[in-house]
Amino acid sequence: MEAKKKNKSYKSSQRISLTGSYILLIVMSIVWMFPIVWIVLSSFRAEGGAFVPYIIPKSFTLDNYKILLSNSTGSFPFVRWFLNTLFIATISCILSTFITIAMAYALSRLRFRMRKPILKIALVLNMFPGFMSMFAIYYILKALDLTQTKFALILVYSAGAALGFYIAKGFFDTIPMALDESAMIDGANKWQIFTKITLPLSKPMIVYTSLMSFMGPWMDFIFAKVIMGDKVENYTVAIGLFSMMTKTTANSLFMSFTAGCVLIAIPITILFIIMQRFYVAGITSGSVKE
Amino acid sequence: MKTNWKKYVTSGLMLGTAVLLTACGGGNSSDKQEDANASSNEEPKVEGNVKLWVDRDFLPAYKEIIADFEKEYPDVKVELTEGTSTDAQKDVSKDPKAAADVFMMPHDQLGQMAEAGLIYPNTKYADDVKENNVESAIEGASWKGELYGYPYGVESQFLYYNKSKLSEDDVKTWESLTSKGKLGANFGEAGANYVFAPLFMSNGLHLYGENGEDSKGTDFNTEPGIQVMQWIADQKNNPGVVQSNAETLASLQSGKIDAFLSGPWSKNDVIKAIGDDMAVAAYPTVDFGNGPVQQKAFMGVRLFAVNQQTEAPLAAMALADYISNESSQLTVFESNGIVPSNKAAQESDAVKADAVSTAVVEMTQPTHTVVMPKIPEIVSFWPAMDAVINDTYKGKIKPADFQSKLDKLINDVGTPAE
Amino acid sequence: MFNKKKYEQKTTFRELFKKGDAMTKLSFVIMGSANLANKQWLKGLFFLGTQVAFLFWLIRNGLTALSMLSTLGTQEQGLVMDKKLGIPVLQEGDNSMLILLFGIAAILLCILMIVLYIVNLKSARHLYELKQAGQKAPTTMEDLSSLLNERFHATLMTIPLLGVLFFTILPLIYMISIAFTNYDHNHLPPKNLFTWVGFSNFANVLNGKMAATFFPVLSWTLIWAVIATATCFFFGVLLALLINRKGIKFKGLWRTIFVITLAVPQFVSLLIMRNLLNGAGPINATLMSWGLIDTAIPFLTDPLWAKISVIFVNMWIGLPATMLVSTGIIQNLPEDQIEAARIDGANAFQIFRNITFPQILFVMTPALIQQFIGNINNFNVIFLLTGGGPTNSDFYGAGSTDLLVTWLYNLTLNTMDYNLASVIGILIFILSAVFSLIAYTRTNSFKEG
Repeated sequence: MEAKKKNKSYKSSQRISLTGSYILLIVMSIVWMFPIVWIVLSSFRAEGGAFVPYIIPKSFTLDNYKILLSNSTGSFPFVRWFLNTLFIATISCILSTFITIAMAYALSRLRFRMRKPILKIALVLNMFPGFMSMFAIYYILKALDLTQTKFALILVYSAGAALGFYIAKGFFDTIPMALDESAMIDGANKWQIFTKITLPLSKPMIVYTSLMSFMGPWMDFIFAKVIMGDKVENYTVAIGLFSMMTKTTANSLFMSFTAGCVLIAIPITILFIIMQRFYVAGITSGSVKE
Repeated sequence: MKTNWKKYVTSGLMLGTAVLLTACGGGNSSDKQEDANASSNEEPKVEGNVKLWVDRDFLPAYKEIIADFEKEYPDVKVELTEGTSTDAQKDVSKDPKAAADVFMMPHDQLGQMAEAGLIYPNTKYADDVKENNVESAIEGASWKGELYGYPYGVESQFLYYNKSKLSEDDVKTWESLTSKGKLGANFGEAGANYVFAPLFMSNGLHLYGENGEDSKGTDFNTEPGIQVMQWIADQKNNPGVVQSNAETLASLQSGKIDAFLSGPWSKNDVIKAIGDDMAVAAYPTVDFGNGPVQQKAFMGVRLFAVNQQTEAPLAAMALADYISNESSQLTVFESNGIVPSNKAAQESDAVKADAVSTAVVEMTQPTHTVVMPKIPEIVSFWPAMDAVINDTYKGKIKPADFQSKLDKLINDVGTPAE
Repeated sequence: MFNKKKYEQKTTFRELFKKGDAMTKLSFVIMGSANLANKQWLKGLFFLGTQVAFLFWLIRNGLTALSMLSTLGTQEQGLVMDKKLGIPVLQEGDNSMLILLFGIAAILLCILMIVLYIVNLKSARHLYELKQAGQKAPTTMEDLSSLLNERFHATLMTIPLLGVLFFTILPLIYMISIAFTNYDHNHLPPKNLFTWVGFSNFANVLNGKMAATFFPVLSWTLIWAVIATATCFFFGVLLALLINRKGIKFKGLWRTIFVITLAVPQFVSLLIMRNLLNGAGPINATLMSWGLIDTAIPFLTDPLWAKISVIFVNMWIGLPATMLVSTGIIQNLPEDQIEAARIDGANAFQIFRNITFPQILFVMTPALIQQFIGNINNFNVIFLLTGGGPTNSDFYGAGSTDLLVTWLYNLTLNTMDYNLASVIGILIFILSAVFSLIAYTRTNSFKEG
């Protein structure tokens, strides 16, 4: 109270800087939203091809969506691809989140002999260009008789999650050890500390991790194609959409392509908006204080 | 004793490989066994399951053709699947056993695929194919004197123009074309290689020798080559040449350009852009300083090829031959506008009545095109040629450096990365 | 408890073999015997079962796979004329690529087995020592419950690490091995065999015509990685602070706006950006129609502009993620510490410099190092946005914005010189591994955490 009354100019300068912040935020939002708005507008555009020298379409249509959803040619089962991707993304999201959190927790909170070597090796392992391993992984999957299956993609996406623990580990590092110690004095074992104390504190990290791993399958167009080969009915949307952008079709299918992008982005965006509630509220307001 | 032991190990190794390969291939070789054991009296039976890869737009047309094929060969079951012809080499070499038995491919990948043992030589139907298809198509389907492919179409770029802006005479020479109208051309960005590398051949030079199979046969670093470089550099200041690449069709629609060089694949887009004003012609002549010469283009041959790892080679070959015969070529011409490579089909009324295919047929004469080389080394030609044309056009290579850049080019394209 | 016991163990395996009872001795040949003798059924059967399975595999496939590694195959594929069919038929040969891959897999399996064998011996020794001390062997239930406590790390990490072993380490060793073979366009399977050639590929890359391209591309790769990482991090943190600042309303809305960009697949946003930034694209067209510029800005076709464009577009893509993470950290900051600083008269900048930023940096350093490495290997942005272009006639097969990794991609997929690509991959790998190990072991989060 005292401090507030003390100085009126403090308040007005606060207001000016607040206005400045708003202006900055608005400008940045426009820059960030522009390409997305453009994708949405293009998906309703009736005329032209990939390139038009204006932003607002001259006439609107729903045909671009119809082409995708009706699968009139029979070779473009977009709905099926969408469901495939949803399935793969959901399962691999659950598995990868569990794996990432487990790895991060073990390496952050538990002490064992191989801990430091594992940290170093894991760091280094990610540094070899990944696509060079595609064909090797393809043949490993083939030896397991899994190629061209959705399970193969789930397996590979989840296996990759084991090395993506660094961000989550950094997060666990910020949770005070004192919490664990006091629980241990109360007789909790490590499993109980993990499930009862650490996990409830880690909602934001879990949300972040699961969101990231959920989105992976929607975006991977190279590796998924290598695994799926010519099995069109097992394609994910990313392969399908990317295949629309070949030399001969890039221009004529461009608007349908953007329509497909809109359809992919909608569930992910909605998901995020729902998850964001947890994300903001999930942070502990009291328990972390020392 | 010793030899016995060796034999035992070798056969053990072979067995191991077989186990290994079948474990990951899941294929069976029992059909072949049966064939070998079958009595040798008459013609072996053409039977088996074969998978066929065609590009997505071709699925409807081939569905029809295959229905006919299966009537003729009731013991062969064809599975028609979508494949990407431009990625044929990549997709087949990734896992030949899982790849299709018969697949579409562009002829420029033929050399590499033949060298890697991915495709079957076409011996059984060779005489037919050679007799019925135009010579340049046969050249495109052969590697080192042996026929591999089953050609079903020929392809070349030509000139599209807006006939409300330009007359038939205007488009005969590069000079009048670019003084009377605006030509959209891509000299400055990736992709210039395909369109403008043949300029060097227009001026009498060779890419990988006469037949495109000699890795040391490129002679661009000579006086005619320098003339071509100078000509490319001059186009920067030609007001009738508008640099355009991905945006070409939009520019055509808006009237920013009146003509551009492209292939049959652009036809529908051009009609969408300018409708009835679309007209086509063969490439114009160009003048590098020695009088007008024909501007040349690369010729491409569309092929079917048979996978060397196929389980049913006879059926696969029969299929490849059937779907590239005269009537199949005409069906595909009707549905997809692919200009036939079959001589009789090229003479048919339908093909002759179509302006675009007439232009392609005219362009695919040896006077207008060079068959794109299919030597494996061509992969290092593309990026190098792109860079040289782009940088020359942009003025980044000064005339004094033309010779040294061309020398580097020749060095780079001779052998891949070493 | 766990550690203490380890120091007490002084019995070597040799002593164990001499002094142990029959079943302990048997453990050296038949895994799990000691456990079974002590009624640790589950553990014993597990050891025994693995051993049987391993031996079965070794005899059936393992030995052949291992023995072929030294030559990588001897039998070439060929075509033999079959008179009955009237066509040549395929004679399958060895496939060097598969021999290499499965040979390495076999080695890994053997190593795993050796590790398990040692674990088996340790377990036998542990039982022996317990007996000497007159204690009871732990029951299966006790063993299982230790997996939730003393050995909880094993519970958490075993399966993920197995995944890493077979889907990361195995392919990695395979790729590294290829650098020492002649697996190039002249030796492509299935028709051709390739074999070991030692270090000659390294000499080719560092001296041959690749070198004139390698070093410029390397330096651009490093410049790109530094700038791309720094811009994303710095502006991401600033954005998070801006949104989380006191007095800003609709925090969720602002955050959502930026995070929507994360929801769009990268290949989509990048292809769209490529379209937007085209010479005739909407951005240039709009600027021209407003009269701000006369000629189109060559966003992607001029080398310098293209570099600026890729860095900016990378920010567009990467910044929201940093914002998201740093928001989590900012919200987790001890509020009272900041309050105390404020009462002591610290201004906003000082609080940021001395409290907020160090804390964010502390948490995010590992992520930053990873991002840096990620940017060295940032395939998507370059491949989809510029495709490496604009072209550069000074280079061999690379454009002005090509990173080592996109150049590699072209080398592998177009010229199929896997061995040279692998050499370059190893060089990138060494470079980034050395850098990040130094950086990482110096950070606090490694020392303290």
